[in-house]
Amino acid sequence: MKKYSALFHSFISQYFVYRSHIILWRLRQILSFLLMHYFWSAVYLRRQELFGYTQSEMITYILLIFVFSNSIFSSKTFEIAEEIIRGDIMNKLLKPISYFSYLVTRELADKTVTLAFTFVEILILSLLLKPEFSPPVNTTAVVLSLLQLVIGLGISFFISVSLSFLAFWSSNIWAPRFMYLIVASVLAGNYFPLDMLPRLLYIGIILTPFPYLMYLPARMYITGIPEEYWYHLIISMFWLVATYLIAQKMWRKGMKEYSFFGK
Amino acid sequence: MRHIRLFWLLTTFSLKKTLMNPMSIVILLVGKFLRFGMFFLFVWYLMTYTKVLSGFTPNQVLLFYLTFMIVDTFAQFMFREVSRFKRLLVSGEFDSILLKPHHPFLRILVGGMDIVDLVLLCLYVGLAVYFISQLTSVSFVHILLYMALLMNAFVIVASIHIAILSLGILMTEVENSIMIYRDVTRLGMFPIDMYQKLLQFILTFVLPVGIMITVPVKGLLNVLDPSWYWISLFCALALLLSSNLFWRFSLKYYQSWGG
Repeated sequence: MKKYSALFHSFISQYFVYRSHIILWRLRQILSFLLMHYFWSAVYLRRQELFGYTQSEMITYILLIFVFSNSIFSSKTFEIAEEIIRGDIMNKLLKPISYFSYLVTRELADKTVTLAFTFVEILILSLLLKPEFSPPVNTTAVVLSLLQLVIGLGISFFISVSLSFLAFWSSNIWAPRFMYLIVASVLAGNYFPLDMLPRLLYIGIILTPFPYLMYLPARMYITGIPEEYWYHLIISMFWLVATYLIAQKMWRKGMKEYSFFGK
Repeated sequence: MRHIRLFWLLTTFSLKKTLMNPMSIVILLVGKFLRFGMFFLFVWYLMTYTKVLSGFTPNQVLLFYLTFMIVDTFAQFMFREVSRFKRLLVSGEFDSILLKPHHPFLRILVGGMDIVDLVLLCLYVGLAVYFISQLTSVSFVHILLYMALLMNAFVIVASIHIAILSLGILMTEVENSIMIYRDVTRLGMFPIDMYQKLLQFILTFVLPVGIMITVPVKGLLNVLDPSWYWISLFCALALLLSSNLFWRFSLKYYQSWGG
């Protein structure tokens, strides 16, 4: 445990080596939030409610998405692909630590830094914009929303890791990741709550793993536990197990076939 | 003439390099189509319910969005090579570009046109033409003014990319500058009238997103004060001049980083 704690601190220290990079990176996140905030404020200018959401509920939704997307999409798993292509993964595998625990520690450090920045930014933005937030329906909704977020984090981790494992067979791995980021950001509810869409389209999207990354946790926080919650829980658990098994299978197969010279 | 031939040669190289990975092109195109299509449908769907956004009708709002896509995609199509500038800097390869008997912009600014974005650009222009044809109160003069203001926007885009290159020389930081530029431009996806007054001012005179996107569409819709034509032209020329001066200034501080 001590060595992982040391690794965790080392990963966090790495962030503060390139300070200007951090400032620019966070500025980009704030700009994305501002765009969505002003867009929805303009949409709600002459109305109280739209698609079942009041203005305060919508502002709360985009704020939650701001937090959740920072934790879901902030990831160091893309570096695995570079390590495989460059052969650096050999050095990691030879070290007396579990490679999987190493990856999880790196992810935890990454998400800790990202969330710390996100909460400070929310505080500043709340003071500047003074938005009206909608409180959660009840404590159970908050707890289950967090549980659902943890499941979402697991799903996104295993998908992202699997995409990096493609580097065992091809050096051209940026295109599938690009595709994943585009599809995930739209179908996870990054721009709008998915239940605003026509019913048939919504039902189709809910069967994919993406709504469980951000949309469902955010919706549960705002509107409470939906009647069909068990249905959502089963689908999300299915995707969690499925993505885990796919990642595991790719890792085992990749390890059997992998070879590298010159390290 | 020599410069045009060189430009054509570099474009051909860039095209051949892109075509080396046909599968990646397909995935990239499908991904970009999907992102655009989903967001476009969402805005259209939302506007059919709300009917109006900051005083503009659904078709007009979609024109703002399409104009944003045209300006943004044009930048990626023409100036893709800017994002690769850091590699040239840190490897020392930039030295050899400076020594060549042509302007360095030919290589580092427009030397890597992206054919994938050209396909998308055609789609956005086609859709914009369709939505303009649906507008009832647009005259031929307004269409010409819209095109002139778009050209003006392209000059601003080029100036910003020259400034990014100059900053790259001083700070060896390019990727984040480009992404910041793209994120700020995204604020022009919708009419900047929907923002607070202070932000509107910043988006017009400090970061000229409003002049790049909102002003051309307002010109097309005939809701623009005539003085804005001159303000836009002045802004574009001032930016072009200052970015070139910034380039010359940064070159004085250039020292080979690698090689």
